[in-house]
Amino acid sequence: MATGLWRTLAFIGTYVRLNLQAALEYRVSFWAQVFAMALNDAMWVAFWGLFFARFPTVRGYEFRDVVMLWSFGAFSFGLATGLFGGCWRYATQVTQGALDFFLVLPKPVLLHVIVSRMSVSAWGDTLFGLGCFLVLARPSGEELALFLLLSVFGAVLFVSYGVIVNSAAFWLGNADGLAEQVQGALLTFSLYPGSLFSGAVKVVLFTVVPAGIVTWLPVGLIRQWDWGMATVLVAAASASVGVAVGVFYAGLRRYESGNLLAMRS
Amino acid sequence: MATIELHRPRGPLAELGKYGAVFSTTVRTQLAYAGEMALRTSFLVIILYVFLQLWQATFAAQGATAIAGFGVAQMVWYLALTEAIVMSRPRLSGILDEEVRSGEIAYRLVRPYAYAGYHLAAHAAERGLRFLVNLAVGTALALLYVGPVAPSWSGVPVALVVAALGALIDFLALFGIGLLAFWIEDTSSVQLIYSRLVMLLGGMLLPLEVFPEPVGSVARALPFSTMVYAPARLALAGGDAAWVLELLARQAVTLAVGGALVWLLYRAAARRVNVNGG
Repeated sequence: MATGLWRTLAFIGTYVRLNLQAALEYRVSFWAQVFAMALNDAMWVAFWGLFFARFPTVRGYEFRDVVMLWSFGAFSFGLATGLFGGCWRYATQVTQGALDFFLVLPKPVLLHVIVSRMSVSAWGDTLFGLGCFLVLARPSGEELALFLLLSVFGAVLFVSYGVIVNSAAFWLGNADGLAEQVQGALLTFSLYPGSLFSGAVKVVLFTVVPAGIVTWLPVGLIRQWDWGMATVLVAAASASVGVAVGVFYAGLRRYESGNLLAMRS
Repeated sequence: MATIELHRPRGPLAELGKYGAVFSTTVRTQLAYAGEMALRTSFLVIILYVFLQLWQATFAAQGATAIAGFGVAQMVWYLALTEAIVMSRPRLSGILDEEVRSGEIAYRLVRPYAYAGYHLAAHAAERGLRFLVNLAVGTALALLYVGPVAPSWSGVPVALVVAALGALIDFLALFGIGLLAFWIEDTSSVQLIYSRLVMLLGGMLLPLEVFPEPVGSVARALPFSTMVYAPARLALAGGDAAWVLELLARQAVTLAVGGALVWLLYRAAARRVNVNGG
């Protein structure tokens, strides 16, 4: 079993290295995308800086809390789509019947689909997330360790959600627009203070569009550790992986090849 | 044997007719994807709801009924208008970027229309249609969330003119960014940063009065505010004649300077077009 795990990790490592090498073939474009995304994130945080300069506290959230929210959201999303970029946009491949390549190779199909692509701009999110946390939140050593550890769970949740949402293409056909909108909703809600929402909307934000679990809960744990909440986070991340794998393979049984003769690029 | 002579229609009306045809064709093309356009407005549902909550919490925390002259309802309507403007922006830079990289620009340049004129007509059609759809959805949502507010009836026609001129300035910027594909590997990064400047310094999320100084003054002096903040502010609260005249003058100067710069960029780009084979 240990050998199997090691092989899987080696497979992921090799793919990420190759994806990175391919992206760096266009070195200027690579760094331009990374820099632009980091600058984009910085501009949003600057917006919050302006907002909190005028209104210092909003329902218990201060500027530092929003900085933590953005840092955590950007870092974990960057990790998720930097390493497993396929998770966020494979609906199009399903619609076009372009998964054949993955079906004939002796690797787990889902893992292969999601690791086969890399979002270049995601590295801008990752760099920004860590830099923003270090510079603006000025964390203690303990907070930094928690940030890095919990980001893994955040990334797992982002990947799982992407897999589940994109799998709608197995049933609906052309679902990339839908997936894009739902994923956009998750990102949007993830980056606003959780205390703004209540009632039925809050229930939705902890279930259907789980922004509450992906960012609010981990950021709450960095602010104040709670074993109960930590258990909920671990359970949610584990369950999300189970659901994602189950939904993907259930959908894959409905997959129809597009008989495309193409080299994977 | 009788010969038929083909005449190319000439004159200003014929010229305008060509771009009118591009405009109407683009409208029909966009209407074919009406479902997708409607789906994209779902973002408005989310962002307006989020900001309704944000402003309600902020007003409650401040114990205020008005901030920068706006109550909660006006803030939501302001956002509905600014979002309708910003979300209607087509991805022109990306289209130009693809045309340059694929070489399709060589085929466009030999057709009997001005390259920029073709894109302006197509851009205006797509943007106009998207704006109407976004405005309709934004209005419905604002009515649902906070109910009606009284617009400035004298400000609305001026707002429409300012919004149209702002869209023209935006077109020039996007066209210029797209042309950069002749010199740089990837224009999407420049496009991303430009879009964020339009959104944040343009006052999409917050009226510029809410910005602390000196950021507010800087934002007011930049052309982005004339594209987003100014039309929304005019439609909701109107503006005195001096401000409106200053605004229009600034837009005219921006158009003149921006137009000249983009023209020079286009001339330089056209010299770099290489056609190999057919």
